Amino acid sequence: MSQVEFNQQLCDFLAVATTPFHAVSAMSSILEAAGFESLSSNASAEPLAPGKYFLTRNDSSLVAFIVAPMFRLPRACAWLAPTPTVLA
Amino acid sequence: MVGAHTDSPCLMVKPAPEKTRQGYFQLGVEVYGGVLLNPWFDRDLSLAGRVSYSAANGSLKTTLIDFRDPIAVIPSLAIHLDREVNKKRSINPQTDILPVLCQVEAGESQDFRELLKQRIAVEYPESDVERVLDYELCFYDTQRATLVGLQQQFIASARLDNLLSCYTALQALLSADGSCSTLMICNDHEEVGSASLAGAQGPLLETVLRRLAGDQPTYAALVENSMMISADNAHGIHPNFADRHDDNHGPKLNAGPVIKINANQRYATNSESAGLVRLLAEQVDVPLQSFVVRTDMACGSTIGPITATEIGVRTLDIGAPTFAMHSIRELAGARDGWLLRQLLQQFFNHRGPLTANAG
Repeated sequence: MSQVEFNQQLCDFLAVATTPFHAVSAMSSILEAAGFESLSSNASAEPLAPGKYFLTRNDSSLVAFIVAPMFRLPRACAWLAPTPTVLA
Repeated sequence: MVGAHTDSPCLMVKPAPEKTRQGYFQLGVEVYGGVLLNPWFDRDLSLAGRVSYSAANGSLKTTLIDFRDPIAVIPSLAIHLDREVNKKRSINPQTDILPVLCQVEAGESQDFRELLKQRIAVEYPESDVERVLDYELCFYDTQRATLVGLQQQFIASARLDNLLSCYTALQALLSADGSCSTLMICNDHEEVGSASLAGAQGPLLETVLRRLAGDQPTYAALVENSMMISADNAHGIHPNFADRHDDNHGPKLNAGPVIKINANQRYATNSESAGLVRLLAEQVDVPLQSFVVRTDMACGSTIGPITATEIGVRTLDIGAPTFAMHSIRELAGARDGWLLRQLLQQFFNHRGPLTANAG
């Protein structure tokens, strides 16, 4: 993606994201198209397998995240930066 | 983690909004957040948001609507009727800013909920609306975002604060290589203090992190080994009002993202989080600027300090420099969102430690 494409898509996004609800709806569509799985509820206790997920709250807030493959390694509960040394 | 907010200051329709004055049908509005009101006059306004309704079978449903067309306007008062306007204009939000939607015959009015029911039928022909119950509807400017300036160096749009950051964080997440666990959160209600079920002061982020961690020791380690970049626009130094900035802290449009610092913790940046981000920026040749508010002026804030307080995660506040924050049409540099995206992508892909002295 170039800066020109980035700004063009930003303008397109601003045109449809007229309210927080529409912004979340637009971002959800983009995430789904990129292979992120929509979690209908955050209440489940099931651990999440490595993958890409998102969920919304009140139709106006959104959390999207990537669970990296090494996330569940023993003791490697690192988030963002898997650096077990700092966990020791 | 990167955080931003989805809401922007605007005018929202009151629950019983219908007003007919001088033969004009108008809607009563509440001011949401710190709206810069003057630019709302004489704009081609439309209306959008969420509506709850009772379906034919009596069940509760919600849907999003957006009229898209310019259906309302707030006309200025002619200067001939207010000769002092350019010297001392003040705006009473209860009486002066009711949008005009149409003219009606004497004794007639419009049923706003009936208008919404008709709009739902237009947008969703398959819907089965019995009656509209309630709504959260925002007026907005229909003028599209566009590049402006002799050399198209600027982006003019409504809601750059903070959809620019939402979009930029989203693009960075989509570009992340996935080798590290990463997260983006876009909260509602930042402009009104973040205290809500969907706001940064609510439990959304913590519940997600706790689910990812599984148990308390892992959650504690996860927070300890994480960092939040709170992305929200900054104030560029304005050529006509340059004295509103500290001499040494006047960010310029198109000169890179702005690290925001405040000793009184209105921004959550500290020397460790800022140091890391400066190193990451150097790795991808992204120039950075810094901002502190004038010492004799009050400082704004973001979801950064709120998230840091709620979660206990180290945090940095950063954002694209802009003009006209909270106007109905704000101005950003055409480079800065793009540069912020490079920086956030580098942050998402960063595999090293997030703290100093970590070996």
